[in-house]
Amino acid sequence: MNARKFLAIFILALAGYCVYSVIPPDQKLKMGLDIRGGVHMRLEIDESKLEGNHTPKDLMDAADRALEIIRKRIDSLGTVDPLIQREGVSGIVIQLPGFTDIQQAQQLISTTAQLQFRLVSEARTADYKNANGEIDPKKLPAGLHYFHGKDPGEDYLVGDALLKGDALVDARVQADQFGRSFVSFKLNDEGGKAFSRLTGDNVGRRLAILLDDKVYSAPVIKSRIPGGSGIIEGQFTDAEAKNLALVLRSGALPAPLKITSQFLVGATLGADSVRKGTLAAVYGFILVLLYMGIYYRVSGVIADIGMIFNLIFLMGFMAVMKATMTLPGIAGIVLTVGMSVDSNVLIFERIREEIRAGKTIRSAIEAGYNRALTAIIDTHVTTLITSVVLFQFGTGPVKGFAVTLSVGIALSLFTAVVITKMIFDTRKEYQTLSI
Amino acid sequence: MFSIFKEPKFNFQAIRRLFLVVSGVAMAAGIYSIVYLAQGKANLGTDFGGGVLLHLTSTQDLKLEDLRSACDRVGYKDAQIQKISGPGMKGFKAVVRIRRALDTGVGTLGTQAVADLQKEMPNSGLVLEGSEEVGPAVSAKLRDDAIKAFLLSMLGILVYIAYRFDFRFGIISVIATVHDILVMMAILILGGFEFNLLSITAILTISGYSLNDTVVIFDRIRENMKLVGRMNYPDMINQSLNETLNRTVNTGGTVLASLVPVYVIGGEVLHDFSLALIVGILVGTYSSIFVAAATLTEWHLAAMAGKTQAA
Repeated sequence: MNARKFLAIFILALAGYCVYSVIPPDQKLKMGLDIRGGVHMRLEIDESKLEGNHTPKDLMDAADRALEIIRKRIDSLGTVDPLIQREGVSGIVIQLPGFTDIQQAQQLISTTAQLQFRLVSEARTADYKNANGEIDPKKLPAGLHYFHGKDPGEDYLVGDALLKGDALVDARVQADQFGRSFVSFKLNDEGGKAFSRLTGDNVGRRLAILLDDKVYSAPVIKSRIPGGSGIIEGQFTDAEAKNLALVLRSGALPAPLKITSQFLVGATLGADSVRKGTLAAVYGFILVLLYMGIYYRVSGVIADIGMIFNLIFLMGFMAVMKATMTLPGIAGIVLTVGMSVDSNVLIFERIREEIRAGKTIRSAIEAGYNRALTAIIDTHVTTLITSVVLFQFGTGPVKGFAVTLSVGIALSLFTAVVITKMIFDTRKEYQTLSI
Repeated sequence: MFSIFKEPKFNFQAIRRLFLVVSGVAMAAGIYSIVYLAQGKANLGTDFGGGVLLHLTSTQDLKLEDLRSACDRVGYKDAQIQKISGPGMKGFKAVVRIRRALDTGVGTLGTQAVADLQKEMPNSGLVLEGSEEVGPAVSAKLRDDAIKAFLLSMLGILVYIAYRFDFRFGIISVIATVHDILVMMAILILGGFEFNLLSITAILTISGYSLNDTVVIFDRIRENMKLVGRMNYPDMINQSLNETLNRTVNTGGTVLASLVPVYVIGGEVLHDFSLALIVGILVGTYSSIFVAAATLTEWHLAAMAGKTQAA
């Protein structure tokens, strides 16, 4: 077996493997959010709400901690392969494929879940109001703070925070005898002792339970509460109570997160787009097959075979490397189809010229391949430069385009030149050439 | 052998000045479009401009005017509404854009707008099928990234051209590439098409690709340089263009053949993207025949005139 036959068998085996790894494509290819549907959010730590003075490193640490907490909350949604990663100094990117309830996602993320217990002060709000009837924070003495209630119109003057939510170990949704949901929580040993002391010392006073700087409830302490358990009421819907318990369990964020961008792709929108894009790609593929076949006859068909190998290898690459397929990625495949036969156009036109100049067909083929090669390499280099840059800077969908285009163009150097030449070389002597 | 042009003998150089003027005007329009873009007048996509974009659908056959007036009534007078239609499409589909700086946080305006519209048109069956909300920080970052990507790929192409060509060919390849970029920008921006990340992607892709025709033609001109003496310079350029004409047309033609179906039936997302690519392929093919070669001729003649004067 000579080297050429060995290469041919290797190429066929590789193509077979690629076909095997990509079928069925809707299961073997990793689809981007623009195709599968889902939610994409970019979040940023609200630096102004971070406690005390902080260095850039503190900010990064806070974002790292926030990422872990967000991961716990997202995991509880049960979405299949969510992506949660850090971006930049204080950014977090979340991708939830197949999940389209953007409001629930927002709720999970926007709750800081900072639980605080403070005693309600006997001081009257009227004493600290300015001319507009609003409470002026500058008038408040040390140890006295002002917060809104969960429902609008309620204001509370409270003391310093006596206990914080770090001590919380569990939170659950429960329902009272009227079916109204409330959240019960449990503190750790240390927190439980502090809570027991706090309630025991202040029987008869009101204890404000604050979540994210809003007073949720302020019940009167009837007696010492041992064991570190308590409840939060606040006229929740079932879903609200469930989310609240969840965010309390996953822990408090170091600072609130701001959403800086969000994208929602509904399942039908994605499916519709990919159906149209794929159909268009198939038509484009057929048009190019016909173009080459009609223009360059048998040689054109050889170019078509090279192009089909290119597509097979490209799809195989996407499946094996688990590269993400996006809608612009489909456009990248289409462009690959149109551009990969360009090499053959250059080669064939050169062969035609050599034949016209009186060369034998065999030497015209050799000369055609040799002399077109520099121009073909130029074509590939300039296109690769731009697609590599696009990969570096692009967002998800554009990255998908850069991947399919650059891999397809790189592969075409092999499929449009080497494979087609191998097919021409299966015959040693040519009397005529259909080109 | 089937050819579009059988032994073509077009005298491109006879009309080169006409095309240089046309291209000059088109490039001026391109520069104007950049000013227009910088002034914030261009039709920026949500990614670059920020704001909210909502994909709304309904199984009912709603009227665009009804949605328009509902938007006005609930306080989105600034909304831009576009109906999406296509062959075989049932029901109603529209894209609503609200251009506002989302300073107070992303994620509320879109939800609010959908709820308002559903309340205002209770029997419309309107459903949110997809949305984009981009705040000022992200859109500013995307603009920065796009500019960086743009400059970096231009630098890459320049380095490659400098390595590949001698001085004169190199300069003219750069002029042809800049020409293609400016004319594409003029058509996309002044034509009122949405300018977004995919537009930039198309422009960068074309700036890499359109160089190829120029390279092929310049290679041929270099080969034919030995003919000068037997024929004058413009005739040699003409012969080179004619010899490479079929491949110039066919390399562009195959790419167009692949893209046209995407433009026609590829769906909303790919529609504008493929249009930008198609425009770019046409401009790039035009420029390699009419701009690059013509500039080369002018340069040569000017240099010759300079030499004669010096002598």
